[in-house]
Formats: sequence, C-alpha cells, structure tokens
Amino acid sequence: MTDPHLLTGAYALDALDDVERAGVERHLRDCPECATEVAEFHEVGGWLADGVALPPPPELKARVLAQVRETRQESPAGAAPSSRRVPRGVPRRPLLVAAAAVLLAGTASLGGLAWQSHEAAVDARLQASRIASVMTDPTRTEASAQVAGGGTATVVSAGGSAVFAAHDLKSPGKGKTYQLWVIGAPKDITSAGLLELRDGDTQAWVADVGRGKSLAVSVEPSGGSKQPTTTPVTNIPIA
Amino acid sequence: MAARRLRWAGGQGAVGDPPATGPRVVVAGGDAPLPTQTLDAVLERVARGDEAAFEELYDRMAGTVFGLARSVLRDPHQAEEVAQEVLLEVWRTASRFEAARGSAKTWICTMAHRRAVDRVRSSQAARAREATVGAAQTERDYDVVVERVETRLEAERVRHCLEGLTVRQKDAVTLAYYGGHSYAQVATLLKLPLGTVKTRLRDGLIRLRDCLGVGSDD
Repeated sequence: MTDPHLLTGAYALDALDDVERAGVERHLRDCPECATEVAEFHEVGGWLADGVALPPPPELKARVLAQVRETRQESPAGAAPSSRRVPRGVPRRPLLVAAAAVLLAGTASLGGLAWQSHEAAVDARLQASRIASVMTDPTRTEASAQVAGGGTATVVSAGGSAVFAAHDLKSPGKGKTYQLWVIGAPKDITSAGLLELRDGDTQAWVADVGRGKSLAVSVEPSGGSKQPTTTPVTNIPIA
Repeated sequence: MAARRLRWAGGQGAVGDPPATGPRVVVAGGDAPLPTQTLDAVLERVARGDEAAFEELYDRMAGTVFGLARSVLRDPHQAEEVAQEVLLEVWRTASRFEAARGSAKTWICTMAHRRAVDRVRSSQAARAREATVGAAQTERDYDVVVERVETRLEAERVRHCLEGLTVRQKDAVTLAYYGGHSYAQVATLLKLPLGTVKTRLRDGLIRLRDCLGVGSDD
C-alpha cells in the first residue's frame, strides 16, 4: 500500500476503497500528526460543504423531528448499543451479544485516551459500526481458540470481513506488542495491525478476509514487524 | 500540536463565541435563525436531549447536509434519505461529540459526506456510473460537477481559496469531495496515474487548509 502519510487527503475526502480506508485508520492510531492533518482536512470539508448548501425539502423537517421524538439517544458513555442494532430474526447468542457490547464499549472509549483527534473518534465510530455489522450479520460464522500464555480469541466473519476479539490476554511484556496477521498461505502473511489491550481485551476489524484464510496473533517488538518473528500464540482459520 | 483545538476561523456557528445563555433571536421567515449560540453549544444541548436545540441545529445545518448529499448523490430523493439518516444520527449520537476535537459543523459534515459516499458506492447508480467511466458521458459528468461548484459557491472565501489551487488540484479535490468520486475514478476522469491523484488531493487540501486558516490556533 502507498505510504499512509500520503493517503490522508484521499482518506479525508472519502476517496479510498474500504481496504485502504481501514489501513489508514490503523495508521492514524499510531500517528498523531496524521490524525491532526486528517482533522484539519475534514474541517476544510466543512468549508467546502458551505459551497453547495441547498434549501432542504420543506417536508423533511417535520419528518426528522417526528423521528427524533421517537428515537432514544445514546447514553453519554456511548457504549449502549440500542436494540435496533440487532436485526429482527437473528437469534441472540449471548456470547456474541456480550462480545459486541464489549467491542463497542472498547472502541468508543478508546477515543478519549489514545486517539488524538476528532477524526479518530469518527473512525472509532466507523469501526464500531463495522464491528457491529459483522457481529449481527445473519450469515456470520465464528470460531474460537485458546491463546498460548492465557486468554481466549474469537473470530467472527461475515461478508468478506472479520472481527477478531480476544479476552483475558496477558500483557505481551515490556517493549512488546501483540500483532494480528492475516494468513492466506504459508508465504502469504500480511499484517492486520497492532492490537491494543484494554484490561486484557482487544478487538480489531479486518477487511478482505474469508474462508481459506486465518487470523493469527504473535508477540512482536513495539511498533510491530513486517512478518511474524515469533510463533503465533493463536491461529484461527476463518470458518 | 495534536491536541490543539481545531476551530472555524469564521463562518457559521463559531463567530465570536457569544455567551451560552444570551437571549435567542430568531428571524422569522429568514433563511436561517441568527446564531446567538455557537453550533458547538447547540449540539451540546442536543446531547442532553433538548429537542428545541435539535430544531435549532436542524435549521442551521439541514441545508448544508442536504446540499452535500445532493451534490454527491445527485438524485434528490436519495439525497433526502441520506440527509434524514444523518440528521437522525446527529441526534442519536450527539453525546459522542467532543468540542475539543473539532467543531460541531465539521463533525456533522464529515458524517454527511461519508454517509453520502457510502450510499453512492453501494448503489445501483454507482455501478452504472463505474461502467461508464472513460466514456463520453463521464466527460459531461465531470463538467457538470465542476460547473455546479463554481456557480453555487456562495462562500466567497471558499471560492477565493479554491482559486488559489492549481487547476489540477482543484479538479481533483472538487471531483472527490463534491462528486463523491473515489481517487481511482478521479484518476480515470483526469487521465492521471493513481499515485499522482493521491498526492494531488493531499496537496490541494493542504493549500486549502492554509488559505482558510484551518488548524491555526485561536
């Protein structure tokens, strides 16, 4: 992929495809300068939007206000997924629903800590909505495994993307990090980014994966590696 | 640097930070109510469930949201649907807005643009448009987008700053933002290599940012 630094413009203009978009979003978490630049570009977007403002259809207002009266707001914690996130007809699976809640909470609260800009918060919301859409997809598949050294990991996959979630992981150790990999074949291993632990939990949304690939995690030096340098602590084929 | 507060250097909603509890003046029949509170402050009231504040926010932002969706989607019916979705999303998720990270207007416009682009990419219309990229129709498509922007740009400052771009920067930014085109489509339309378009978009935005005074400290 192109150097993510150079993609901030295309990213802010929503001109990237999903895979590149996800790549830039991962990069923004580790690059505060890039996140600031994207925030500034989005502000430019707000200016540009002024240029095309149009009077909305008059009936729109009544419709929106009526909907607003019937729509519950998210709580300030931003963590409570409303029941409308789960489509009717999808059996509620306690594990998944609980996992989705944890994932959403984790993603939402990340914003306040590590991410430096408004944009990152927007990305967190996007991630949360992508995660929620995989977790509630009626066609989703799931697979779980133990993690060497402690903890469990689950991969939920639907529609060509997947959510990796792990719980109760041990700290990777000083100067080390957990890194997620997409494995297509023995020589076809690509990084899906670094996993940030919050109280032993982590989650990630991975684009462009499906049956035949697997998601693996290894312990790598801080900052990550280009290819895994240690034996994976877990490796879960996508069901 | 990263933590500095991003603010509008001017424009609707951030003028002079009037006191939060001043009298509200609403011009009946006018194009928009006279802002007596920053949009940030209004959105913070919305986050507390204040429906009257939401109505004020609607009056101040619905035109921008709808116009942006219309610009990207072209189809007025779809634009209306997207505007409705976005405005409802603003109500629902208002508590996530954090003024320290950027203005309410940026927050709303970012959401609106992304939602409109997501819609266009997934819609039948987008597939039909993809199929014609490179064909004569696309040339017209391109002309229409640029022309529309040039004729509708009421914000003098935005126009001034757009004129400060090179023609190619302006074309690329315009097609991507107002036209909702991916950079690959922009590359096809402008007959440029992909990498060139990526850097041109960024260079164009940097120039616009500096011209508009975005990101400079208060």
